[in-house]
Amino acid sequence: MNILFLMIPVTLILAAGFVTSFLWATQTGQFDDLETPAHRMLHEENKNDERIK
Amino acid sequence: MATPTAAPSLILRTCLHCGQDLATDQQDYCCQGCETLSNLIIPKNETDWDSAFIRSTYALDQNKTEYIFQSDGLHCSSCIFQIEELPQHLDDLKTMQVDFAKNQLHVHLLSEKSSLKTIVAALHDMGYPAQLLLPEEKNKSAEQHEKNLLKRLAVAGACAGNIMLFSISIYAGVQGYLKNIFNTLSFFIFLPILFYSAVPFYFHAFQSLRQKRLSIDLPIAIAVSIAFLFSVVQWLMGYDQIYFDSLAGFIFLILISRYLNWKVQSHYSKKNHWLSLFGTQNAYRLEDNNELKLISVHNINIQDQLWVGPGETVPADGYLVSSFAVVSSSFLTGESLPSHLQLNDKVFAGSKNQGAGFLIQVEAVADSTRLGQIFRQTESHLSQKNRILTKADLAAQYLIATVTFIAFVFFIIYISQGGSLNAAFQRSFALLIIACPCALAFGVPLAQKKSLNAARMHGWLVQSADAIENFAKADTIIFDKTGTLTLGELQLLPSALPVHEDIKSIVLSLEKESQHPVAHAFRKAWPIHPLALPKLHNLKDSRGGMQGSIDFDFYEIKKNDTRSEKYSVALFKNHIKIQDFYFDDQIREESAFLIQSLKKIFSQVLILSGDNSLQVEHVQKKLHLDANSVFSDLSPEDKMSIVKKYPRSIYIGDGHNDALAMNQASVSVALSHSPVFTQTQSDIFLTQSHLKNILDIFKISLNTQKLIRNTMVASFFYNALAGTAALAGWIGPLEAAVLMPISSLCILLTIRWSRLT
Repeated sequence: MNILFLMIPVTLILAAGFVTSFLWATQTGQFDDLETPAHRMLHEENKNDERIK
Repeated sequence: MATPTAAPSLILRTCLHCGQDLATDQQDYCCQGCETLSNLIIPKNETDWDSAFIRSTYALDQNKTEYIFQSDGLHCSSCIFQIEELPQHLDDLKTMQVDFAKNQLHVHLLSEKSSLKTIVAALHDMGYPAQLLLPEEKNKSAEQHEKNLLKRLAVAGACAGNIMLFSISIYAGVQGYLKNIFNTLSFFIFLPILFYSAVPFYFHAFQSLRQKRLSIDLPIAIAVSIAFLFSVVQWLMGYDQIYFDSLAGFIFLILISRYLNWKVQSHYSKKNHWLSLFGTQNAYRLEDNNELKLISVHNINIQDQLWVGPGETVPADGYLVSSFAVVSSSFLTGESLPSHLQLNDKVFAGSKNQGAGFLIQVEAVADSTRLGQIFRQTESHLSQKNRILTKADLAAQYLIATVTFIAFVFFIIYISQGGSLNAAFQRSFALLIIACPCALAFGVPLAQKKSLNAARMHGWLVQSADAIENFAKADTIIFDKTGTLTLGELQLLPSALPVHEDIKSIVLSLEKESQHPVAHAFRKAWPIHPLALPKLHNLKDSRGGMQGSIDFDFYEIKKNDTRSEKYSVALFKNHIKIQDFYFDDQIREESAFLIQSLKKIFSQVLILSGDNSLQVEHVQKKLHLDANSVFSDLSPEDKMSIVKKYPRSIYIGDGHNDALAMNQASVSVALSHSPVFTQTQSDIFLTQSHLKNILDIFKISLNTQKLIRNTMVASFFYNALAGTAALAGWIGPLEAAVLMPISSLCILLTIRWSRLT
């Protein structure tokens, strides 16, 4: 059971990582608009478009 | 006074601008105002998208490259694609993002010099007319609040899940040093929940205590604190009664419900900037060189002289600098008939100009105007009403208090009967955990939300949580007459003999510039093109009516003063009456049927009106009501005192003179054409100007009541049974902790799946 001494800290660090990413995503507005991205993904990208920017 | 019958070179001259008689021969104008106005060139009221002013007001960032537009033309996925493709076609546009649900476009320009105008033009051409949104309107604080809630929720969920990992091992029977390690870990993982996720509870509990109010956050905060402290003690002493996992799960679930609550609630809170009352955000200022300059409403200063055009809304408080004006203050006083103002009379922001253009000198702007102050008052009123957890609060309080009391008493009795301390604690605590005020905490608000949604489908926007519930509980329903049961506009009644075409032309000519309801009625009845009308000399708006002359005949329209049930005016030619006209305010087609149906449901149906008794009697007979159900000649204060006698009533009005009465009723309903001030005062705001949906709403209300009642009954039985089981020792705290969220889920699902309509 000694492996637990490695696994538990790793688990917790991983969990902390996930929570941090979620918090960051929320703060930067990932979850503000839950409807439009659903539509957006159906759009076909123009393969040959030239974006000057 | 005899009109001059001499040749057209008139001895009496008239002001070149307003047509009033001039005192002397030497002037061309009757006053300074007219002279100025006459020589004015009015600039076109077009938004200059690239002006420095627009850029600085509406930009979201320092570089003035980020803007938000509101465009209601989005109706399908293709719209999103097309708009988001724009950056490929327009150089000035860096990115464009659509928020479909909010109908908003988030625009990033390439640089500060980029032109907004081309973008707006392109959008317009594509069929998406767009308006810039003020950064405040984006409602940053509400968004931030939602984000915070979500973040707390996430932390609570992550921690709860991880604590569960360790708890399960302990429940499975782990012993020894591992058990201690797991318990310690549980404690530490719980800390983020304690100090971050649960913070809203402490905060609101504290706030409500300060306001001497009971809120549901209070028992939650107390329970969390006590359970936490108890668990810490147990942990430090090496005992087993550790409840970090249950607490974590509990907090997680409650936060979920709060988040969902908030998402729905934010649909209903519309923060109307007071300036949105005006169709335009621009005003005309008279500069020193006697030119008119188009400025933004935000830039108005005290002592500015502003020009208000025909049909425009006055943008600030002030006094009249022109010799006369005709304005309508129906937004405040409910007087649908306009008032005639003289030089130096006060003019208020929000009034509508119903005559020719005039000049005012500004005395108060923005929040200091009468309108701005009213708005500030109603805003605070509205935010109070919006607290959704009102009655559920109190009931939940009682439940927790009762359960705690029982647990405490039981604990004492059990010990005094010789039972072990451990067992006593176990059972009491199981009781506390299992007796969940979920039905009240989640269920009632959810049911109320459903009813709000159902009402919204019918076009009824509810601004206060128990409004729908109270609708079915009322025993009296009170209607305002004008505009609510009637159409609210005058209609010309056909006369016995057909009206001569010439007379029609003359009347229309006299009323050409007027915005008076009588003028509208005439124009509606006789659609003659304005250019085909004869020209009148000396057209003047005198107190009581319009007058003018054609050739040598003097015509006048004056109101007939008879107290009859119908509004009437008469046309005079050379001071001899040649025609009477009668107007009626037509009763809405649905009113009769509605009143009949409502009489079967409510014990009393009343009508209140400010009109004279004959007019009201007429309506009363048409709607088959008794004479003691109608009241006439009422002032706003009278209406209020009558409604006061029926506290459990529904009051329906269109705002004119109704605001005071609305405060006294238990549910107030404002029709769509109500002035904004009254809309904000009412509990329910209709997006329609008719009442056809009342019966549907009543049904929704009944069903909501039933649903809430059933939920509470089920919850009571659950609590009684589970509580007994806990006290009898059949259920330990572990099972209690599992059962509690399950019961909450059951209640949520039941409510979610029930039908209200």
